[in-house]
Amino acid sequence: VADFFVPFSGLVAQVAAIVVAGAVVAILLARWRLSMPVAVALVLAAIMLGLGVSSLWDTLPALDNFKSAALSRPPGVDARQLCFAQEGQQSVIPLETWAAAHMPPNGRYVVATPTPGLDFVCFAQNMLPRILEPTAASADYAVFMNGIPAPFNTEPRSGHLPLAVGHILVYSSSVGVARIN
Amino acid sequence: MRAFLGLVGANAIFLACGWSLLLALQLIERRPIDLLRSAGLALLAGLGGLCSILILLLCAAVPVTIVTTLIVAIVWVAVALAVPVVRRRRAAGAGDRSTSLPDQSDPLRAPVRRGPERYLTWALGIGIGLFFLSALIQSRHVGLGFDAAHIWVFKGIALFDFSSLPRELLANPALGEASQGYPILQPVFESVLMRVAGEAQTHLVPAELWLLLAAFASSIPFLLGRRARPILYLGPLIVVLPFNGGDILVSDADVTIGLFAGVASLCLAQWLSGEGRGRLVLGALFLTAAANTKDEGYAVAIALLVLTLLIVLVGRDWLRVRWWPVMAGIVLVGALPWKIWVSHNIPYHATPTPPLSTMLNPSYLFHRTSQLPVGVEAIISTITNTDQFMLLAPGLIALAGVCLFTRAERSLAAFYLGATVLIFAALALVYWSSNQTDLTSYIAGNVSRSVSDLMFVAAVGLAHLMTRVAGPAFEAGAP
Repeated sequence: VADFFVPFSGLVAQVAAIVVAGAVVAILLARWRLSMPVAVALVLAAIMLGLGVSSLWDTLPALDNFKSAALSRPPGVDARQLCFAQEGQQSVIPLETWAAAHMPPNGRYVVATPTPGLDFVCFAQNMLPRILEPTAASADYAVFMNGIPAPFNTEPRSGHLPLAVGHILVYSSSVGVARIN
Repeated sequence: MRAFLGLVGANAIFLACGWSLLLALQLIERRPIDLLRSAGLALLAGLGGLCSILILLLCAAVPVTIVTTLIVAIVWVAVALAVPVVRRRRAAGAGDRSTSLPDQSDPLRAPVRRGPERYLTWALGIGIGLFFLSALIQSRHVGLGFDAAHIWVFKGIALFDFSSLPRELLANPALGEASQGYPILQPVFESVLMRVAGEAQTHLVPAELWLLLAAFASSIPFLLGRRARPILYLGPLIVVLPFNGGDILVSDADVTIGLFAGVASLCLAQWLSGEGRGRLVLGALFLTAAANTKDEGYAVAIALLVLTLLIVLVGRDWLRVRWWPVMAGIVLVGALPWKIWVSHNIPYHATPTPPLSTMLNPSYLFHRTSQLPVGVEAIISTITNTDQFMLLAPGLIALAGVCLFTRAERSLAAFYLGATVLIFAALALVYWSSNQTDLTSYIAGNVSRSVSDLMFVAAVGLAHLMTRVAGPAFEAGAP
């Protein structure tokens, strides 16, 4: 029980300090006959206006630092692809860009062989409006990012868009986009 | 240029809806100065209301395109503008010639104050305006933060691309990190921005969030009225405005829910204090918007609804008791469709918190008793961080406590104190019932964002209480 109440001690101390400050103000400004609520309100208004204004302006450089540290984009990475870079998956970006360029905008796909630790949401977000399907049965395309399985690996038939069913376009020996349905 | 046009065009639609609603609720008159002063509140009301209707349409499988959006907005504006006309005709039929605002003693109508305080107010107002301008410029060309890329903007782009709820994405277990069951008001307004801009411009999102925060900053003085002393209410506002700046840069939804919760609490507190039913409708609309923004918004909505009912029942205010179901009805109709859609279309639990039935299961909670102090300690150490919040929460507790003790503005003090305590309790329950394996890291990663609604309500409560408590003393010539 004691452990539960320990965190509240800081809060209680701050509340008590404000009330005491209000009482002091009420005594010091006795000739205006301030009630306690008015005195506490005046104390809070003075504290918040005084410290708040400087804090407001300190925020701008802090935001700038935050922007540089967390949201700056490496060269060639657009705003939507930053999620790959943030998770150390920058190598996925060219594959994703290539896959999106080689699938029609209304394409429905599955990632048949994902790269280890692939961020599926980031991938799906960047592939929009192409839809990531939960299963191959409902998909038109399969994206291979980590090896191309049989039968597509036997004789890659890199051709032109639109792909016919069973055909594959390859980016490298382990990356390709195949029409499966 | 397209981004700029998108931002201007979408906000013009939201403003038109908001202004027409404020006219219908008799909160403003058709005068340029009224329109200017109420622009912030109109933007929040228009965006919150229009997007809640669009969510309803999406859940009913109606495609939401730019045409649908415009039709809904036009119908909204037409209906809202017809209300004053009908009211005027009825009044004329009944032989009543007073067709202007019903309550001329409304503080919104109070005369303008002159003197040094006015110059200080202008200086602070210009300072806050420059802050927003700098922040807006600073947020150009930022990348998406993790949650935005995975949750908010991901869904916003999907809605822009498909004009309907893409079930394949929202029900795909591989995309669980997208928290598919999360409410979608922010993705919906993002998609409106993108539609008006004509392409998926992600940097519109932080710009819009800064505009919404600025709208919040101007809504509070408008709602408090011209009788309220700016030097009393500006302090808490200045403290709460910048603390979530980082969340705006990463396009998260914490500011969005915070400002809706804050404005909702002020509207409801004013309704409880005897101001018109317009405040009730606005309060309900903002609660709906909060519930449609994040799961925490449901907790805020329930907390404020319950609290409002308790206060009117304890005060035996039977007139307001009769109006309470109207407010609850608006919130239910506005906030439930998304939950219903999720329960019918997403076959697995797709939010980071367990279902409510689990969260409230005593046996489940008992087995996680050790998690409660961890969560409570994290929340308290965050809200008592003076570098960040300048005594906002302790200030509200102190002032509300003194008010309750001295019987000054008791119901107002009870409302804001109760609201912050209930929102605090809801957040503590979330951490208590969490099934995260590394709870400490989980809390450390999100507690500073999760207290957003709590701090906005505390700031608004403090601003309101301070003006109500100390305002009359100022009028009487106190320092």
